[in-house]
Amino acid sequence: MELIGTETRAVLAAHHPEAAGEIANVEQALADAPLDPELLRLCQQYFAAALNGKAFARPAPGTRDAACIAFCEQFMVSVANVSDEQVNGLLSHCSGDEVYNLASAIYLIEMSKRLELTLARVLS
Amino acid sequence: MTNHAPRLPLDDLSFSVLVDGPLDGPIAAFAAAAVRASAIDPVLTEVIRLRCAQYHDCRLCGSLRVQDALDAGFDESMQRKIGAHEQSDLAPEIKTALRLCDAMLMHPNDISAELRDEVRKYFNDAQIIEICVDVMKWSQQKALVALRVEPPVSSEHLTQLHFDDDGNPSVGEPIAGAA
Repeated sequence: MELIGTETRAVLAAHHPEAAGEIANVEQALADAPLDPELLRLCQQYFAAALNGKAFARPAPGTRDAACIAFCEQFMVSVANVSDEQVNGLLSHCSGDEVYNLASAIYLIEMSKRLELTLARVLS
Repeated sequence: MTNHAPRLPLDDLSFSVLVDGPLDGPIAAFAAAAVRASAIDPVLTEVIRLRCAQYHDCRLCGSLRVQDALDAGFDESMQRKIGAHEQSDLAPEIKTALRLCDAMLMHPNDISAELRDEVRKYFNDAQIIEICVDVMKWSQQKALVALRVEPPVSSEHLTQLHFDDDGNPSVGEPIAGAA
């Protein structure tokens, strides 16, 4: 999956080529990771909407996707205040390994979107 | 520093994930690339690292101090100013970098033209990109904070954090007189 767009990739390649290269490697690792690509795309859609102040169609309550988006929401607003219930919500649908890997993937998806938005604002 | 029990007991993880999860290596390689960059000085990098640690409440990050920054003049009086940097007497360029860091961590889409101009007054494009890549790198522990599997190295004292020439970290000795 692509974490950053063409413009951000070009800016990084010009000024921080090693980081650009490693982000490309991370993207490949995400594609190869034992995680549902549809779930990762949903997370990416959530962060793209939330960080741009746009509406997001929430998944049906009680589902894995809803538990994941609830986790993403708290992860984005204040990771220090993620609750036991939010993690347990994920664990009710996913194994410990999946939750561990998903948390890493969510970090990459969220922070790369923040990187993209920030560079677009400051370097434009 | 807050106390938290792990939300994901390590016993719940398979050996392969515990030792080397599928994303751990690529994230570490990205982190090392961020560390190897040198467009900004070690003191500013440490200020940004600790701001991310504070914002995310990362107990592990907060328990460490990068030795290169200490060697370059970073000290605990500076650390104590980071949380309330707007009211501090930190240098203007450091406060500007912290404003950029905070904006990226909170509402990047609301970065104003004023902040943009201020950032570009003090930093060139390569430095701005390095600061932003650093914020992403020093937010790496968010995944561990969410699961509360980021205990401090020591709750008794601060500890040195070293990076080798490839950007790989290692924990060093306790820092005398720092807690």
